[in-house]
Amino acid sequence: MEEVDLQPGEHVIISVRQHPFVLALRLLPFFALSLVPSILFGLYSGITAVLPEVSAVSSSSSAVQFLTGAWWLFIWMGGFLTFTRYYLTVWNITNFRIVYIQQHGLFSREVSSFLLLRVQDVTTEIHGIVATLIGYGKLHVDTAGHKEEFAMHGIAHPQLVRDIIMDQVAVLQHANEPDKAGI
Amino acid sequence: MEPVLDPRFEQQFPPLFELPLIDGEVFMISAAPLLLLAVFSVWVVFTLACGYHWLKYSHRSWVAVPALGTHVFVSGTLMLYMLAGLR
Repeated sequence: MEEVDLQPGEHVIISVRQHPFVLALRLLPFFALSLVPSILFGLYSGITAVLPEVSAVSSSSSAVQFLTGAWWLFIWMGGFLTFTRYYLTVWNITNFRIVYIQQHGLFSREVSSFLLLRVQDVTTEIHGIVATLIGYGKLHVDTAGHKEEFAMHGIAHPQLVRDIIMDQVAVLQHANEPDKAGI
Repeated sequence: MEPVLDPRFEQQFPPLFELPLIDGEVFMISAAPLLLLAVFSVWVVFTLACGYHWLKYSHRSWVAVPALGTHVFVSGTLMLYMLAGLR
């Protein structure tokens, strides 16, 4: 991880993103918008069929082709930006800590990091039939002395991620026990 | 006295938007180069910004290069489609 230097002996156990279904839901409006030119042209063709006095526009008209291409290009760019945000937003769970990287937009990025030893509670929430069947939900991590909420919505397989976090927390606590006994 | 416009000037600098827009050919000849330049400028800035983010923050993921390649290919195809309207 170039943004966060790993400590000696630290390695990434798993990188977690939102479920691809969440991405598909976010891309749905772009798909719908891409159909707008076809719908408008269909409506216009219908009107010209009923009212012949209205001037007809050919779909091969240069203006229509140019503007339709521009419309689709901007929709593609919006969709690609959505995919970029989706892919670059990630939880990296290492054997020492969790690094939460949020890509809000272009040139808008937030990186949070907290030690696994500070984790007090890990909660998963799965609501709804679709989320249950497909397997995505919310993962919420409470940390000691940290008021900020660490939560990711629409995460894929949240129970699996919760188990990985809790297993690693148990390993770290077990490793720290001899030190406590020594005190 | 009304100003007299030199016909050569009119020929060299045609009006940007000639109504009615229904006449696509007239619209294209006059406004297309400016529109194309605007769209292309936005696309270049967007692509450079996305490329920067993918290459810097994707942590050497194998997805970065195919994603950028797909973006350039699809948007290039769409721009060619737009350009075909200028023929």
